[in-house]
Amino acid sequence: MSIEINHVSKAFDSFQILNDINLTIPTGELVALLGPSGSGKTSLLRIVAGLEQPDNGQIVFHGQDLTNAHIKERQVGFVFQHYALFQNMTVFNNIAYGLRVRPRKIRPSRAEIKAKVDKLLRLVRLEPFGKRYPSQLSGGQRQRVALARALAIEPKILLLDEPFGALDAKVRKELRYWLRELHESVKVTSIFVTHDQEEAFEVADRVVIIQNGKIEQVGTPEQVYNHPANPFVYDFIGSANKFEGKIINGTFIDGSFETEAPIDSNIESAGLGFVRPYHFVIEKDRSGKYSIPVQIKHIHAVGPTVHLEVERSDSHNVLNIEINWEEFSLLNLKKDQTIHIKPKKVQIFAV
Amino acid sequence: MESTVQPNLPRQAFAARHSLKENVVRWSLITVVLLFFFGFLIIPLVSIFFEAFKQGVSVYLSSIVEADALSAIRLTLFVTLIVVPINAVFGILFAWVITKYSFRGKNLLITLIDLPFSVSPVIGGLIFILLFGQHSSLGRWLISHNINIVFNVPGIVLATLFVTFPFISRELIPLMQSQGTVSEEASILLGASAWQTFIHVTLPNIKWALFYGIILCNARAIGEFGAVSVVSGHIRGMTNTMPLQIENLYNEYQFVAAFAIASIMSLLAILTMVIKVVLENFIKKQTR
Repeated sequence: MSIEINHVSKAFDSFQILNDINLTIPTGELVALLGPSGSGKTSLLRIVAGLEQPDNGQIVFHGQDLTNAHIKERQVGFVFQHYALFQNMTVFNNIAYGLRVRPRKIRPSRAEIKAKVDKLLRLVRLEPFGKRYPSQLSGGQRQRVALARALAIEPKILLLDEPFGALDAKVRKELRYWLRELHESVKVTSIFVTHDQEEAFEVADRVVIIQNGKIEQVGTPEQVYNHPANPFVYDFIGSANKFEGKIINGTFIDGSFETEAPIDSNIESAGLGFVRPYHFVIEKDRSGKYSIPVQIKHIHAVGPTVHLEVERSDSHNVLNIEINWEEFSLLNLKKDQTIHIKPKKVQIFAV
Repeated sequence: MESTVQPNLPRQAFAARHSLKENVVRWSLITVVLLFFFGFLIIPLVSIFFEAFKQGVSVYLSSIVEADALSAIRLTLFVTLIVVPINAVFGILFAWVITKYSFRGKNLLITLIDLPFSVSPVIGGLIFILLFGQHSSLGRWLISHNINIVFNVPGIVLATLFVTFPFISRELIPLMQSQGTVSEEASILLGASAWQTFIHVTLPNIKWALFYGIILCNARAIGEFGAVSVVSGHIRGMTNTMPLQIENLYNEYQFVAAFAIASIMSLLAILTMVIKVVLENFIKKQTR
């Protein structure tokens, strides 16, 4: 079942949470809504679910306008950040809930419900835990119960609101792969909200970047990561060093640093340059105007990657650099040493 | 709970450091509290039973099975049985509306819930006299149609309802506010109706607070004097509740009879406190 979001806007009091959102999600796709907290991504998810009403715009499921439809008619599965399991019910009863509350005419028989819940318990790998209560489970297990509960009603659409947000880093990673696998097997159209770009890139078919209630970019993880549409996206996905300067005749200039700017403009304009921490070459001596003199302020040499904190000699801005351990030991770098760094890849935006 | 196996070393070390002066202060404060407790709580309570049994068990029993006394006990239980369920239903409704919806004037409503607590019960009773008595046109109309509310059982029920209204909603509102609406949302998203959601999700989450509120409401409904005294008219065997009957007997110097009924009310009160304590311990175990 496909989802179409047409011109959706929403304001709380005078604060515009969502501003003319347009998004189409084809059947079976897993889409991540990625954005900083307060960007409106959760509000958008709640509007799709019917938990909130948009001020303007339409929500269309498979060609059917459901903007004013009741939550029940939408048949969405929803997974909350803090699980929202029913504490007074066992895991089994939590999962069976959506089937048991159906009107008698369409309610499955007791045996059918049991078979279905057992199947879901297997799917989320919690077969031995059916008789436990949510308080007796770990966070990761609880979230898997919440997922099984949402899938029990055979939703046409699955919505996940920061599903791994409350879990620790290791469990998060495991559940990420597991969600990806699960999606491959059930193939239900899914939207999941996250503020963790790594999570979005690993799990989603497509990533939608939202900021201040507006969509900044939509694309596959590769597209978004390698070709960020604007400075916000570049800065938001992964760490980045920022250079503020101006663009003159195809050249970006920031202090003593210059690089080519592939922007067709003869007019002088302000520009922003971004360089990922691992896109630097370290030199002992200056090799031309593309390299920047810096002083090493801090060395963090734990693990295979060495993190350097350096200060530019001209503007005194601090830059973060990552090099691998072999390179680091060959160069024999010391704190307070002055070196030259040359960006291998710079992304320039005119602003 | 503290473990009894481990010696409580830090506390002993701490106690050793206490100087003599601190010990004196500590013990004199504890003594003052205990003396006050015995003087103002235990001795009066014991004296109720002492006075009630002063002339022997048979006199005690006969003053309880006396017709007016039985009628008073019956009326009190009858009023309580009506008031507590009504207040339970409206208390839940009130708490639900306050915590699950947002609307204009909500904060004013939350403040007004406490009105029966802040207003003197006598005024609470007087309101109903003014509303349904001879002095108002509504009252005159009702009386001419043979509907007597004031100086009658309906008046007592209304006055008790008014005085005990806040108990249950006041227990429920903070709890329901802290729980939020996310469980209810989950239930609705799974296809449950509002009623199913209330029965299967909301009610189990609030059941202990509800029970606790009912106990408090029950205790007050049995014991209410001021408001009921104003509306009842003190008609012996008709509109006298237990507290009113005690006052009547006392004024007539029938001390044994007065204390006999007082002893029953005290037993009910003690029973309520015991249930409350048991419940509190049970909840503690549940939530651990």
